[in-house]
Amino acid sequence: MPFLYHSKTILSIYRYFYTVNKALLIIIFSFLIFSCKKEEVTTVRFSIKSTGLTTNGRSYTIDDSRTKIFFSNFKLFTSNGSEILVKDVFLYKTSKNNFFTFNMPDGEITGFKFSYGLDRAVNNTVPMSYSSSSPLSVEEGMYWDMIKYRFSVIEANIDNSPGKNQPPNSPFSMHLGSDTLYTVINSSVIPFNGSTVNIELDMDKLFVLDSDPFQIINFSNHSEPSEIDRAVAIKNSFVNGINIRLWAPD
Amino acid sequence: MGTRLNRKFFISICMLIMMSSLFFNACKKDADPSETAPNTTPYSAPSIENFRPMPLDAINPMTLEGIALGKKLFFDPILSRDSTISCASCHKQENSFSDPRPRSRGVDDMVGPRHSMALVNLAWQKDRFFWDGRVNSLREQAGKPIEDVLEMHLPIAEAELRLQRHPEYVDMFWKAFGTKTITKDLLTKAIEQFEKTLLSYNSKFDKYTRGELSLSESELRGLDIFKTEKGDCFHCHSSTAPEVFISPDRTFANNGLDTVFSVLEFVDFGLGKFTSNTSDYGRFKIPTLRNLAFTAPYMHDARFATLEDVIDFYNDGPKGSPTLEPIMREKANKRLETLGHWGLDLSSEQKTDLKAFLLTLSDSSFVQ
Repeated sequence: MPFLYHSKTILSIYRYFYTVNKALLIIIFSFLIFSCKKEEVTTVRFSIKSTGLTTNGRSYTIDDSRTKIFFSNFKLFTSNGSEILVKDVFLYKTSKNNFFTFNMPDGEITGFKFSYGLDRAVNNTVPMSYSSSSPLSVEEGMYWDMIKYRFSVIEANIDNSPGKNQPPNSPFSMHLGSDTLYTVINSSVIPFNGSTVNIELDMDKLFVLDSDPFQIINFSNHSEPSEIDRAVAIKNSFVNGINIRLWAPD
Repeated sequence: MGTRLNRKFFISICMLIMMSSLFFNACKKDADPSETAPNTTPYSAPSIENFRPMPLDAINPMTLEGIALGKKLFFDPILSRDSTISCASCHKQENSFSDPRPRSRGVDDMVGPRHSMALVNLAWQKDRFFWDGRVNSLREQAGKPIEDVLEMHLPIAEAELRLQRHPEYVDMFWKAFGTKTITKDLLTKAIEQFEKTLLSYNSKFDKYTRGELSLSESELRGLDIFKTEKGDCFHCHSSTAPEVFISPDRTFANNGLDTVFSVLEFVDFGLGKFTSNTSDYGRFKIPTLRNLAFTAPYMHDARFATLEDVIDFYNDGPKGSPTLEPIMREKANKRLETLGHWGLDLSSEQKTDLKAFLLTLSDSSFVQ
C-alpha cells in the first residue's frame, strides 16, 4: 500500500510538472519565435554598374575596396505636405556598406528624395565631433581641410595610351567635394512598406570629360578651385546617370 | 513503469532548465572589457580638447600599476643580453623618444638597419607597427627589440627568467597583473601601457587649435601650403587626426625616395618583405609629424639631416618606381601637364613658411 500510495503521488507530481512544463515550453518558444520575427522594413540598396570603358572607349578599373560616396537627407513626403527624414547620412562603400533599412511611417507617402553629398550644415562640421562609429568620423578619412568632406572617393587606373589599346595602368583619384557639389535627387519611385529601392550608380558616367589626346586632369580631380568646373561637370554626369528602381516582394 | 516515468520526468526537468538557461543567457550582457586585475587602479586618460578620446584596449586595460611596471622595464637595461642598453637607449625622451643617431646601436655595438621611430601618442596609431609594419600591435612591437640580434639580443625566456629572479619585478607584476609568474605577454603588455602614456598635446599648433594663441603670418601661410595641394602634405599627414598627423586612410606609402625600375631593386623592401605583395615593396609606415624639431634625421633610413632637406626633396618631386604612392604619381603627372615638371614649385619663401608651420607641431614640454 505505501508503495502504491507513493507511486500515485509521484505520478500526480509528474503530471503536474508535465503540464506546467508543456505550458512553459510553449510560452518560451512563442517568446523566442516572436522576438526573432523581423519587422517589415523598407530597404534602400545601392549597386554599381560599369562597362570598364569610358564613352570615349578608354579602359579603366576602379578599386572597389576604396570607393566611398556620401548620400544624405533621405526623405519621404506625405500627402499632408510634411517631410519625414528616414536617414540623415549614408556612406556607400561598395561591398561593406551598400544598404540601409527603415520603417515606413504611417500615412500616405507621395514622394521620395535624397541627396548626393552633404548639405552645408553637415559639411561644415568637423570629424572630431563625431564618434568613431559615425560615417562622418575621423576614422572614415573622408575629411580634407581643403574641401571639407569629400563626397566621393574614387581610386582608379586608366589607359593613357594614344591608341586607347593598353591596359589601364595610370593611377588617378577622383575626390569630389565642396558645398557647390551638393545635389538633391528627386526620385520618381516611391517606396512602400517592405519594398526595396535599388539605386544604381553608373561609374562610366564619371568619365564624361574623356577626350583625345589623353589628359590626366580630366580624370584626376580633387575639387580644387582650379578644378571645380570640371568637378561640377563630372558630378552632374554622375548624378544624372543614377537609376532608381523599386522592387517589391510578391 | 516507475523508472520510465521518472526518466521522462527527469528529461522534462532538464529540458526546462536548458531552455531557461538559454533564455537567460541570451539576455546576459557581455563581461565588461574594462575590467582589470584585482587591486589595480584603472588609468584615466586625460581629456584633451583637440584630440579624440584615447581608444581603449579591452585586451590590455591600462592601470597605474601596469604603467609603472612598463616604465621601469622601458628604462631598465636588464632586458638586453649584456645589460648595457634599454628601450630608452634608442628612444630618448629629449628626442621625442627617437634617436638622433641615423642608425640605432644594439648590444656589441651592432648597427640597426633603420632610424629609430619617435614614440608619441601611440594609442592613436593603428594597424601595423615598425617602419616595415611587421607587427600588428604595440605590445607585439614592444617584444621584438628584446630578441632582435641587432638590438637587445636577449632570448625572451631568459628575459622572463631574469625578471622572475628579481623580487621587485615579481612584486610589480603581482600588483599590475595579479600574478607572480612573469611571461612575455605580461611584460610586453606593461611596456605597451607605458608607451601609450607618452602623450604630447602642448605644441604651438595644439595651443592654436585650442584658441590659446595665434600662429604667425608665416606659420599660417605654411599651414595653408600644408593642407592644400600647394604642398600636398595632407594626403599622408592629415591634420584631421591631430594626435598623430597621419591620414586615417593611408598608413603606409612609398614616398618616392628612390628611382627603381623593378621592385627587387629597392635596397629595403619595407612592408613588402612581410606581406610578400609586390605592390608593398618600398612602402614604409607614414611617421607622425609631431615633434619634428626633436626627431632629426628624417625618413626610415635617416637620409635627410634637416627639415630643409625634407622640404627640398618633396619640392623637387618624387622619384619614379613601380610602387610610388599613386596619389604622388598622379599629382606629379598633373604638374607635368600644367607646369612641365614633377616638382611642387614652391618658392624659397613658401618653403620657409612650410618649415615654420611644421615646427609648430613640436611640443617642448614633452621632451623635458
